[in-house]
Amino acid sequence: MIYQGEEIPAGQELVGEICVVGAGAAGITCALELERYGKKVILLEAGGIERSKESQRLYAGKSTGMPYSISHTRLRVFGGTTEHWSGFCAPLDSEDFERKNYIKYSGWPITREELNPYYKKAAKILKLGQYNDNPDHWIDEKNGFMRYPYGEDLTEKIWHFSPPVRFGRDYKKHFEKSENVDVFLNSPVVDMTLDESTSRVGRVTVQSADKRYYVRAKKIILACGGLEVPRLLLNFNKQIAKGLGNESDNVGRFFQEHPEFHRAGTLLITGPTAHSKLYRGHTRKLKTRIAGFTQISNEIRVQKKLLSMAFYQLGADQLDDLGKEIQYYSNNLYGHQKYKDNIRVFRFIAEQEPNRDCRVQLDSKKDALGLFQPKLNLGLTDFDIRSMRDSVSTFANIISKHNIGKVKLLYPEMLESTREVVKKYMGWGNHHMGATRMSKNPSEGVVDTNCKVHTVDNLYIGSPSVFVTSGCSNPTFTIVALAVRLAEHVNNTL
Amino acid sequence: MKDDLKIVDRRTLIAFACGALSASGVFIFIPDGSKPISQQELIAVIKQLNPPKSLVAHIKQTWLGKSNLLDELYENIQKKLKDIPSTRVAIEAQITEDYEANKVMVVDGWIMSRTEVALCLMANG
Ligand SMILES: Cc1cc2nc3c(=O)[nH]c(=O)nc-3n(C[C@H](O)[C@H](O)[C@H](O)COP(=O)(O)OP(=O)(O)OC[C@H]3O[C@@H](n4cnc5c(N)ncnc54)[C@H](O)[C@@H]3O)c2cc1C
Repeated sequence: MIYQGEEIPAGQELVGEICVVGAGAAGITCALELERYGKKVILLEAGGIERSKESQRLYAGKSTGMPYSISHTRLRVFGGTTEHWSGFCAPLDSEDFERKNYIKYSGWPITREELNPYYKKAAKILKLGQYNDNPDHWIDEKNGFMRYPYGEDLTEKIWHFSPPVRFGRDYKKHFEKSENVDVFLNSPVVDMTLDESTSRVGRVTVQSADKRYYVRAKKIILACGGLEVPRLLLNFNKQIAKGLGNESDNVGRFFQEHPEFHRAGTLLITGPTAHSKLYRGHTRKLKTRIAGFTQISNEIRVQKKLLSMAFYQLGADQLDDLGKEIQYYSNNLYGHQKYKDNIRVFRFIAEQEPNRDCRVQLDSKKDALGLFQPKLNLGLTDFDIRSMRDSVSTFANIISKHNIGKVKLLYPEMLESTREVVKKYMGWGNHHMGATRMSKNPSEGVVDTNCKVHTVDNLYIGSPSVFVTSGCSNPTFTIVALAVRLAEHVNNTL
Repeated sequence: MKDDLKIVDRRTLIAFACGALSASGVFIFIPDGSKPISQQELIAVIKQLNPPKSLVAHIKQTWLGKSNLLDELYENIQKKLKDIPSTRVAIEAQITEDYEANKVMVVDGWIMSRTEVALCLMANG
């Protein structure tokens, strides 16, 4: 059933087996999975069915680092930010989970292999069609899905596209009829109280309109987005002065985004594979929409000490006069005169290294609910910048080295004054990761391998904030996979 | 020495490079025992590649006399010709090597290898 928080009498205490806080990609996935297991779920959502300025205003905050809109990069509504996400989905790579000695704080305490079965389930929830992330599966020369001949220097990484699933709109009807999941709209959680042992959350406080009601549950899953989870934990500081789960001072730290160049330059692709459909968004096999993005091989990345980065084609581009001359010259050089060239815009999405100082803290200003607003210090380290620069030039060099074509950079100055160019032209992916990271050791993170807060026995986090590193994949596919895994764990341990 | 074979030094090559490549039937030679670069072959390769005039002009305007690209081209190709019999193949191998070693230049945003740029400098604009 779906209820309005305003309907709940002041001071009322609702009791359920599991309380999920936040009805976005992670929260709704957890609720759906727990419902499948026959569990009783209370799903608390801060927003309503429709977006509203009043609700969105409660997402305001301050950015003290690089310019960043804390409010516009997320939605405070039933369905969360998926109400306007783009549907790009790719799993993290095996290497993203590994510890790399040149990336400080890298290395997840779980492996990609452990996540594989959950990615399969996530693909169904996100309606990805026939999910297969092995590029070989999609090579089909007869139908024009060929690989560019770049040997082993570059690799394809397959992206799938969700229709995109809008978790709120798409699952509203389902929850209206649900017997096991009760959704409470306009019900922001404003506090959590630990019981006497201080190792369990005893009561969750919800503020709806001008009154408060409470929820008790055996287990609580905090799933209110990658910025809001650390913000709430830091705000819940009546019993633990540093904030809930923050004994080791890791809550809010290691925040990561995906730096992106929405238009990085032009790819002039020549030769027999120039028009391969593999690299463009194409619908294949059982209506599955896929595109091959390109990555520098892990070997080269390790050798050159590079973070992860994916290059992808956006649409057709045009050459200016000089470009046409370079095209003519390089076709003569490669002996590719007989082929029709393909001219494409390319963009990239990059990884940021985990950085303790890139963090969410509390501002001195409070919101209308009495919670301190978030203050985000988002910045790029010298390593982030160097990696971006070297990845771009390595990519361009490999494309030319293998006679695939030529690369034009829209901002060639980035090869010299990278930081200035990045500051001026770079965008962000709107992905909020890392600020309650997963760790084996409680001193190094906030949640354990089951996404349970180290220091609280019944509090779990379903959010991209548990990511240790962020690779170059859009996060929602992994968020949903982790949520499926979390629901399974909660069910097994209830 | 045959009529159509002249022995030239590096300076001569560069002089040729700067516009005198119309001379034909000439071998370019450095006295270190390696196979000399055949200027005929070099001209033939540049003719095949046929870099368009305004690209050549653009590159000459930017780099002619300002870098040691031609010296580098000469030395690199000469070295390659110790193992590779054809100038064209040696040039292609050098271009690959340039990209591997990030020996590139930016031409109006386009990433080009130093050898590719040097060949434009040698072409008749
Ligand atoms: C324009 C845009 C495009 C994007 N495109 C992509 C893409 O193509 N691919 C991709 O992978 N990702 C994309 N993303 C990111 C993606 O939307 C998020 O990663 C994803 O929605 C995060 O899921 P979540 O469940 O962690 O958070 P959300 O989806 O944000 O859900 C959090 C929920 O918690 C609720 N909430 C907040 N505070 C409280 C509280 N105190 N009490 C109760 N409830 C609360 C919110 O109202 C919300 O419903 C995009 C984002 C934007 C902004």
